[in-house]
Amino acid sequence: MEESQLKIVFAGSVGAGKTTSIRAISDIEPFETEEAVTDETRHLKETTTVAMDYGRMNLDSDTSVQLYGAPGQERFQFMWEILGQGALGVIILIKNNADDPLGHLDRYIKAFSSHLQTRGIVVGVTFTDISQRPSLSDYREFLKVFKGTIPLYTLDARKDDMVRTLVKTLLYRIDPMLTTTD
Amino acid sequence: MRKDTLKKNQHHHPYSGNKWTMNRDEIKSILVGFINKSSHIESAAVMTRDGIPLVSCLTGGVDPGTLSAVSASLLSLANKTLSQMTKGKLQQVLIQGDEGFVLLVGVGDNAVLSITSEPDSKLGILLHEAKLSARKIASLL
Repeated sequence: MEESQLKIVFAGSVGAGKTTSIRAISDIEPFETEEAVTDETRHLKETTTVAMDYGRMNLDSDTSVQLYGAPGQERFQFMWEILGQGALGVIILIKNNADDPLGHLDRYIKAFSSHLQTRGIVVGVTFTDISQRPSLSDYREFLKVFKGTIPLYTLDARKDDMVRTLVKTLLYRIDPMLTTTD
Repeated sequence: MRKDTLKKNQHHHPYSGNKWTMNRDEIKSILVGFINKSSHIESAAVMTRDGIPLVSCLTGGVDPGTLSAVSASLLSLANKTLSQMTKGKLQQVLIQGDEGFVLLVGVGDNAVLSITSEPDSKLGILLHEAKLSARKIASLL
């Protein structure tokens, strides 16, 4: 049987844990494009993704998921478009201790729903231990307009089982058949 | 109090202050000299490896912010592609289009020099000059 590959994208706030998530679940050594930070986010972390991350997660013996990570900064928006091509869905990670996390979420959803053919979006909120606001119910309220089509999770990007849950939820939303062998 | 000041300084932008203003002017004159040296070279700009514009001499209509971001992405991807294919250290990225070339060379460890030139440019000379300029600029960053 021909091996089938599915493509998904990790997008979202700077420092939310996109590179970390891919590192956590990839079955191959991930490809990363980290460079030293010189912009206004330099107090948050030392390096940042400037082009893309790439990893691969095996779903079963003949299906794997290609994991692409997008840079968070809006100046790299052209990469969102490039990486969004052919993607089945996007996992949007929001750093809860950043300024205006709901504003971030709004921008990423808008950007990616125009790039993607599908409406497959899952949201993961990180650093909820450091900042409790906005609360999950604030996010739910915000996501109401999407009428329950966007699942919401809190996430520690270092925990592979948590990241895997988001990936599987996204795949299930796109096509329930994809995850039945789990 | 003192700790706060210290913290602030630590987060101070690496490319700001009086010394940087002087160096920036000097980099600008290196770029202008570079463009004037050859009639084939159209524009030159320097940006950080994470895509922030530092100094630009661009032709009309080119946005330094966008150019800096795409250049940083490309250089980083090129670097990682070389290591993936075990082809050593990056010398330059050369992109050829119908209407000319875009050349990217690293400037020290922190920055990138991006140059555009006309289609009939002499590439050997262009590369040589670009690397000389990059070396001069690196000492000012």
